[in-house]
Amino acid sequence: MIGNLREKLSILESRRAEPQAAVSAAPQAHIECKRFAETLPPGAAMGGRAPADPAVMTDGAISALFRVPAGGDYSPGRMLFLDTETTGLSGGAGTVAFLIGLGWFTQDGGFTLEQYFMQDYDREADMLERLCGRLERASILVTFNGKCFDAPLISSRSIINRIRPPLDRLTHLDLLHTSRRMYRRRLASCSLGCLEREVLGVVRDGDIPGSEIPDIFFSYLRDGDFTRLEQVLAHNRQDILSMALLMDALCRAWRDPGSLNEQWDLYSCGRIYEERGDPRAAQCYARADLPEARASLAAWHKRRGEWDMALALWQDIVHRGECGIYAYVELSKYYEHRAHDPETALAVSEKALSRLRALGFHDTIREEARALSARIARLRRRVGRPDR
Amino acid sequence: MNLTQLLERLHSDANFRANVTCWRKIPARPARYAPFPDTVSPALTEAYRRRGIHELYTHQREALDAALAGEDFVVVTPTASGKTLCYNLPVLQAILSDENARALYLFPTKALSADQVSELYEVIEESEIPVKTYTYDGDTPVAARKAIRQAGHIVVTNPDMLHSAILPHHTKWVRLFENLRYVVIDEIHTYRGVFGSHLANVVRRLARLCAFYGAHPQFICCSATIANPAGLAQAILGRHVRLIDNNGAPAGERHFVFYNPPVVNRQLGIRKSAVLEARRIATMLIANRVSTIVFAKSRVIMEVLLSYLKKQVENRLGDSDLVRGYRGGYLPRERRAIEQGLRSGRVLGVVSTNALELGIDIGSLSACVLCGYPGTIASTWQESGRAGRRNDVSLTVLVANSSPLNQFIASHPEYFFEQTPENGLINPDNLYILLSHIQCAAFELPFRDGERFGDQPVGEILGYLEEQGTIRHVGDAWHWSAEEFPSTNVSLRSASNENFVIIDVTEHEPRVIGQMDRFAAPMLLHEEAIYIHEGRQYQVEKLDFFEKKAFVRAVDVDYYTDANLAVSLRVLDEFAAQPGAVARAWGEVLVTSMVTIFKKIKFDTHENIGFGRVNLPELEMHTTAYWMSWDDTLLRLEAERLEDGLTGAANLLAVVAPMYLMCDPRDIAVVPQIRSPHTRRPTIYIYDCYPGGIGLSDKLYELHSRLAEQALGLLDECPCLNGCPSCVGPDGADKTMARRLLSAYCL
Repeated sequence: MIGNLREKLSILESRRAEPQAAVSAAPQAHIECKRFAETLPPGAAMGGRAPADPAVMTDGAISALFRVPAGGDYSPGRMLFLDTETTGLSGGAGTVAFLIGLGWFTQDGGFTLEQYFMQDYDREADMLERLCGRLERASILVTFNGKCFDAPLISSRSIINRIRPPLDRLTHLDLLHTSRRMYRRRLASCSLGCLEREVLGVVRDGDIPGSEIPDIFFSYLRDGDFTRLEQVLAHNRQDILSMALLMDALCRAWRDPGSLNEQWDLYSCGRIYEERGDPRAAQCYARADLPEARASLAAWHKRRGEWDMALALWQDIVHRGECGIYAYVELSKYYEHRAHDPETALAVSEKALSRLRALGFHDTIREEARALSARIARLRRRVGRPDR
Repeated sequence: MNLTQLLERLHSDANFRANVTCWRKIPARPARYAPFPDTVSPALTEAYRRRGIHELYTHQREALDAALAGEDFVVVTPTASGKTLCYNLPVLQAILSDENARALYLFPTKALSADQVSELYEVIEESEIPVKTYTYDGDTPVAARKAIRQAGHIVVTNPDMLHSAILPHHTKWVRLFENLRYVVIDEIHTYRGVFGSHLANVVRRLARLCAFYGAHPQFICCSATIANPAGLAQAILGRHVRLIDNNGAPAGERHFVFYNPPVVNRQLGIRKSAVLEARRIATMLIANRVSTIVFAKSRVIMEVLLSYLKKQVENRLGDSDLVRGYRGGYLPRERRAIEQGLRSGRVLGVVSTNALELGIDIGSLSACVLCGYPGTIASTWQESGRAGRRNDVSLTVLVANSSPLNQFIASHPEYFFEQTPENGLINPDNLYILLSHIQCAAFELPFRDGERFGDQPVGEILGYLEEQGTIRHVGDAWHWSAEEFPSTNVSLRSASNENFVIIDVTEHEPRVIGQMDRFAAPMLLHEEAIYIHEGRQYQVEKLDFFEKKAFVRAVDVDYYTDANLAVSLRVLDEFAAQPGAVARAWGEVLVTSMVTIFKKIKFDTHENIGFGRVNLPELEMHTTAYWMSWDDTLLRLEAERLEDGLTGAANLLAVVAPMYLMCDPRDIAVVPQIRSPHTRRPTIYIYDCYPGGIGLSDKLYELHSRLAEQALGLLDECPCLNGCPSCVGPDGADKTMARRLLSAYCL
């Protein structure tokens, strides 16, 4: 094989001395990319259990779910959903987006899908310019992992084509980040495929694996056969629809946690509320039958000085034998500093230490044991029993 | 006793003088100054004044003027002549006048980058000017990278990072590329041969992207003394470069002493060990509190010498830490501490391998002991330059070992002083290298029809790549059209950067004490080896070759170990051949190296006290080779003379081939075989020291008789009587026989 390459190279070597073709001076025709578009009427199927409803996407939900400033205008009419198909996943200046899929809600609650496909590299500039046109009219960009992948890729290719897309002007909502906050405790993975199966109920029929997409494009470039690219277009179309469905699901969960059937989702929703100090956090925690939820609820009450509530929860956790020594430590602190009862505080701490010892000795436990021993020593001094 | 007094004593010491083959005194040189020009910002001149620099040396002024006039230049001055100021001053001045201005600094190693940044920081802090300098290399935390890309005025990196991380992601570095004013390439003499050819192509890619972003940076290079600094810089940059070698820095008087250890066994002609003699001389210097650097050629010898010196210094001065070791493989923090100790004078002596040949700033020392000839004239001067204060006398002692090359240098000191130092040669248009970088460049930015890469037309190569399917021509441009990231498949250096870590398991908590490159690990970290680190002994308990970990335990034994590396070469395929009484061929070979046994050597006496077997996998390299063979029945040569002749011819070819290939002597290997298993004749193989081959042996096959003619010419012109390193080698090679072999080839 080396020999074969070498032979070719030596032919090249001999040809290299020949003069080069003159620089082409022919004026460039405006070479256009291909556009595919369709509009789904309100209520049309989007591949999931139910279509996405823009009405649930309120400013409050968006601001809390995506950590964007409260009080902004995040109405769904301003959103542009975007997903690209590329020649590779490794990034870098030479990775090209050959298909840009867009989607937005129409005035009447329908959903428009638009795809720009570059049939060859000389159509890239046109594709990016048309994207710019769409971006100009939106103020919110919605992607799935677009902060790390699609947006830098588009900006990189735009620089190379000397186009300045107005990406910085748009508020960027990345559904991957929010999905992780909401579902990572329940799901093994937060890939779009996994979310579709476990959350959205999307069933993809005959879908192509993402890893094959670059090769399908390269083969199309060689032989011009569009058949397999149809599958890529369909794949990208469903990605856009699933993003709208995911936005719907996240907003729905936030607006009405009561509708959630999964304990972990309830808990996660509580965490999202708690970040903004929203009292609905406590309701979520109270309804989720999970040790973590009980601990979070106790902490919530503690921070608000609702000691009776907190105390009851800690005792409940101890009674159930949950959360390691968390509740013991909290109780001990409570008895020492609140109830001014160092004897009980000491007793609780000592129970905690024996419980910890029963758990075994890896590094984090050792660290906890050290802190606990210090606490016990201090309490013993306070009650006048420096050693047993 | 200070060094002057010591020198007087040595000079009159008949025993010492008996072994000195040459004592050369190089007179002191006064400083030549030039003022800071008015164009330099007062903030900067003030900062330098506070550092004790009130005036510039003439070469620094010349460099500054050239920079301000927009010229590209290369500064060639000895160690400790203030060369960093030659680029820091114009760069800082440029940033002061335009806060958007950016500069890129390239250093061959990470250690050097760290050193340069700390020095730059000092100047910047003194002047209180808001210049942000960052190191961008494999150790840079991901979180810090974004800030560096956006805000770093001076980005300090190495060619490998530029090639694999910055250029392929240039769109993230828009601020840098749009505003790039200066590119600084320090230690440019290290970019020779294949490594330099790669760098030249990385520079072509850089220049291409700068042009895209509308920037036209100036290039400032620095070089240690080689024969052709300007030629090398021009070849790397692909443009005219002004040479600045008008050194204005002062130097004290220098003494250069060649010392050949005395013969201890007349019958066998055995000389006293160079290591023990180097120990004696270095101990004498350090015991007199003369700051001394000792260079050893291998890591084992370096650590053995360090152990010796630590013991001696402990006995005489009561503190073994007055002597430290320094080599690749020490952990970065350890190295920083040693450098710091040297600068502050807390450390009196340092024993090093050539890791210190590069310009790491350790201040200047008074004496240098070279345990063995460093191998080239240029590196001998560079290592010797580590000793030499600006105003005081300094001493270099070259202690010859018993190898033929060392003995030749010791007995022919004029050869060393009269010969010009080696050339730095590169061939940026080597098709293999060019092809790799054209792929990287196409990934970074499509090629336009008719565009050149450096001065190379690239249409044919792009056409070839289109056939291969990685590039697509459409419209008037050639686009990268593949999923791969081409720069990950192109390594600028032959050695892989995979490292073994060395883990000390003596204590309860294991800890990493050092690292070792993959190639050296089987030699130095095989099981049962005594691994010495900063003079402390450890025994290797387990070498996990696949996980790249060596587990060692501290020991105290009276021996060290030295392993034997067996290298063999096997022909796998012949691509082309021209048979005959003198034949040539070109093909694929497998070079295997394997460590089979190690010796245990007693400290102090260097007696061999045992050996052990090593069971490690072979290291294999597939590469390409060119070979020539002779029908010895036709030549009617006696076996012994044939061997000497073959050795001589091989040495001549090793000298001549790099000149034709524009490569570094270390890029190729020359192997003579009296009876090659493949050709069944006396054969000389020359192979590329790069996995897969890098086009050097192909070229030799094409050159064939011209190569032999040139070798013959060199042989005839060489005035030496019985061979020297410039022709057939100093190893008793046979000039007449070598001539016969090569003439047969020229017919």
